[in-house]
Amino acid sequence: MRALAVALLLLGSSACRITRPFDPDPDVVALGVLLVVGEDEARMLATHPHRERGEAAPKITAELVGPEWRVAFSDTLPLEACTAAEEWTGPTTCLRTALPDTIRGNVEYSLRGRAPLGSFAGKITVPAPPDLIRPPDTLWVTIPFNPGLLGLALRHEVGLDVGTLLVELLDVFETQDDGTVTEIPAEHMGFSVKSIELRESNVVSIRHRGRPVRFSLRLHGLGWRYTTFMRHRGRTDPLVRPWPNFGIEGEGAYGYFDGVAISRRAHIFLE
Amino acid sequence: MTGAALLVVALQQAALTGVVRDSVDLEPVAFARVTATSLGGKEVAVFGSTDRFGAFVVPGVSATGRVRVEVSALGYGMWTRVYEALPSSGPVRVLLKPAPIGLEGLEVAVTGRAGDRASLSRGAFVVDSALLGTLPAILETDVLRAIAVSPSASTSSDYTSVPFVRGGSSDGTPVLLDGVRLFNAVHLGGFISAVSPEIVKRATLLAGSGGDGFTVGSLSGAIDIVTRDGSRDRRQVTGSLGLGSSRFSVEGPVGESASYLLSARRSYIDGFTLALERMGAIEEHLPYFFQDLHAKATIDLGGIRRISVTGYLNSESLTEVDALRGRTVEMDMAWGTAAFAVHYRAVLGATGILDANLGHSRFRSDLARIREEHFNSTGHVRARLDTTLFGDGLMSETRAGLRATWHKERATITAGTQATVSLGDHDYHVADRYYSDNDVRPFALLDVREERRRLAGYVSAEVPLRRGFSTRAGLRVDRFQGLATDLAGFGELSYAGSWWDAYVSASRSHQALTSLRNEEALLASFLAYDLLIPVSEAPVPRNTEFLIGWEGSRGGLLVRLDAYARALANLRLPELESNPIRDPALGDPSFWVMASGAARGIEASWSWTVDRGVSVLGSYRWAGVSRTVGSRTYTPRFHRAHELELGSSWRRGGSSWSTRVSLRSGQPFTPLLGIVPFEPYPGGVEERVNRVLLGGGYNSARLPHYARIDIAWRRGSEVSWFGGGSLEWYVSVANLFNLPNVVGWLVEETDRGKREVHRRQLPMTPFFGVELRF
Repeated sequence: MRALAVALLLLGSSACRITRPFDPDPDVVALGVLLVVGEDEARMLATHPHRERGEAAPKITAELVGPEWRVAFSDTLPLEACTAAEEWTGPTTCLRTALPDTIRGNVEYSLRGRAPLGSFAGKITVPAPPDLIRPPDTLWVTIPFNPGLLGLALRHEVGLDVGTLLVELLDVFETQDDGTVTEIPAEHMGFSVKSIELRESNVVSIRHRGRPVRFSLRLHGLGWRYTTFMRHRGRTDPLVRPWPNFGIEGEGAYGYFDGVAISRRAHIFLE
Repeated sequence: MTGAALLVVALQQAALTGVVRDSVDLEPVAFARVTATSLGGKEVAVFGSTDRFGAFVVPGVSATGRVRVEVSALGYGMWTRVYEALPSSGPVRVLLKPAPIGLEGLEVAVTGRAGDRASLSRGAFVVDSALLGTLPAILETDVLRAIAVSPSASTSSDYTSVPFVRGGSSDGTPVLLDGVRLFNAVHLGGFISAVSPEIVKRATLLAGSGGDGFTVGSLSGAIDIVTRDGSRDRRQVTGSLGLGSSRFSVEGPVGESASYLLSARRSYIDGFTLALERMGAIEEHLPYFFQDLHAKATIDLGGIRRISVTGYLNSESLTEVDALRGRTVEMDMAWGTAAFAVHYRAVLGATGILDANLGHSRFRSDLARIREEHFNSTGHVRARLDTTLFGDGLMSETRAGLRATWHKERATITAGTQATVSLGDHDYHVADRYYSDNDVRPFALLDVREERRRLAGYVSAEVPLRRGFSTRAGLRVDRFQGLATDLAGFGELSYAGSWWDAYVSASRSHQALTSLRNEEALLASFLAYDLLIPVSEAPVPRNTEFLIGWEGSRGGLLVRLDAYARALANLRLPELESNPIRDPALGDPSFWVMASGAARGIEASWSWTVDRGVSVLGSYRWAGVSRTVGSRTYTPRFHRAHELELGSSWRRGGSSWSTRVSLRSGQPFTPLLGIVPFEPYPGGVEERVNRVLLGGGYNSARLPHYARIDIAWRRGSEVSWFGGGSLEWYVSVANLFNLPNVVGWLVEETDRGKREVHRRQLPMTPFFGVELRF
């Protein structure tokens, strides 16, 4: 049917295009703040997304307000400390602040600050950590000699404030044929972090190579603001205002502000 | 005593009836002014005007004594007769002679004109063959494009000729051909109208639902195209050879009282591009053509009695031919419209006219598209054929109407009834898997059928009051089968001064048909095709409007000013859940929701004619238009706040020059405020693109303003071929300065990052051809 359109337009679409660079306001600032439960610091990514990388990074003043405390994002870290993503192509800065208390679930935090085009603010309640019911703290599983996939059943409870649930494999150690124990990348097990359904139970497939292996497993619950923001990635057409709640509101300062909470660890032994 | 005197006077009065025709081809002349003056004793004049079939009834004329009858119409010489007594042998037959104007030793041929387009009918804008010939042709002379000169009409892009009237969408403005609705009255996606200019006598834009638009029963007036009767004096052949198509018509008398008109047109884009392909000039030809055929027979039954039969057929086809390259047929798409209309006019007593209409029209489409799909099979790329789109559709309308008009001395009363059956049956299947999220799709998956009957009865009256005031009012009852019975009406109060008129009116109308078009989709600016279907449940879409206007005429200058406000209720529109720029232009109405709309505006139009072969026609309008869907109110994408149209023509000798200047403010669009990256939470985001495009309020920004200048040159010459005739060569250039107007934009990923890709309006494009008459 595209051909129909192209054909009927005749004088239209193919010959009648004017392409020009996207030329929005260069002073717009993109912000990204994700508070992690249990951490005693907070980091903020700030960039001028419509500028070239070599230009000056945005001048931001911002503070985070927690229960009975208020701190400013005063430290500047190397960019690598905040992101490895290629998308932050503009002049980017990684701001940090130490917190008088660790980030806690079910607690309200607010962010306020000033960017070149105006002020911005946001308020969130960090989600409560997911409750990992199964597997228990330690689980022994017998695996066959031949390499293959193993279905690992998970049971958990997450609050309504969690929009994205991730399962993470970490500290993976494999026993080699000569008896030595070697840490291997989690990707060898099929994945290191994987998104799973919010429902009460999931089964994740673990790849094994027929050798004994032990690893830890935990769940990450991310809030709805980050989840909603993430769901609009890749769209070619701009998201129309009023936008969903991304945690930050402001003129010329756009982005997300949310929290993530992590469950206890379960230790899995495959033998 | 006074009562007895009045009775005597009344008994001594009678109605003067008649028909006004062009003296050459005997075509009825509409909008002619008829003045009957009683010459016995004190001169008393009464006035009337001819209707669309040239008929007039002037009541209150002295039945005894001498009477002078004068008939005048723009472009014709004055017709005057003095009768010793009012003719008793039946209707007066008036033949108006086209009036040439002598200028400075030159004789400028002037075609008989119906009248000034802005002043003929209150709230109407009239396009006749003379105006058609003076506007620069876009591909070819086009009646719908000419209507867009009116301040009430706007087109959504250069690629569509279908006008949107006063903030309404095109489904609210039916195109009527001799009284019958013509579905999709366009070809080439909407680029040109489907009505050949060869057959058009006059097209009237009825911008509102009151006054003359009252009988139509639509949301946003109508475009009423009246075709010519065939020539009654001799057989004539006319035609045109153009860049994209050719058209020919033959017409002539049949006996003393009948005539015929037969007209055909066909494009040769397919053959032209095929030749270019064979020459290696282009890679792939365009296997598209359109054709239309129109036939009309008219029988003059004597006096104002007449009967006419109109038949119309058009088709378009887009078919990839297999034989040429020995490959599979990829597309087999055909669609077209057929229409049939009968009109019968009879006399009702001394002052009455009865019009009976019967019409049927239908639009059919049959679409199929096949594509070759490549897939990986055990390491080998194989190809298989799959159907990406197929389906067919039908829209039809059958309409019968009866209308009686009585011209009384103190009032003109009209009463009528209409019965309409509307059907929409659309069944299209689209294979979604062949379209990515970024593709612009013409269709959504559709499977809808709805049939609805409508019975209407109406009565209206025009009553002259004292001191120059007069009033018009009407009442209409519509019974929408299975839905509702709605009451509509209009009222108008006007004042006629010596050189100016003023009027104020209010009206309400209903319409059961709704459109499947999503005007917010970008493709809707390029494809004007519409699929209509009756609403399946009450309430019925409704329009309420108020109008106040003024018009004045001094010398050769005529100015009209109108201000209006409208409220549209019970519309069916798609929900605005996202940015619909890539949505299908034709969507599934089962997802449409109840919506409303509003429009208000100020319109100015003027025409200026000087006795040097120069005429200027212009219009300006400001309007604010909105739609409300759910909690969101927005400006529709087709709307421009300001529009200025200026047409001028200059004729000298056998040549004429014409220009058309269009200046418009930009169409609304949703701005892109920022491309915001996000930090993927460690390992948890597997997508490649980690950016979010944040836009502003829906349609809250405006594209750059629009400016276009078209220019045309025509030259006529007499030839002796085939017993004598004339040729008129024309050359026109659209968008003479190739100004980069845009109709919309998309964000696209290119090698150099994100770019705004603006969809451009018509670039500079030349057209040429020759029109012939024998």
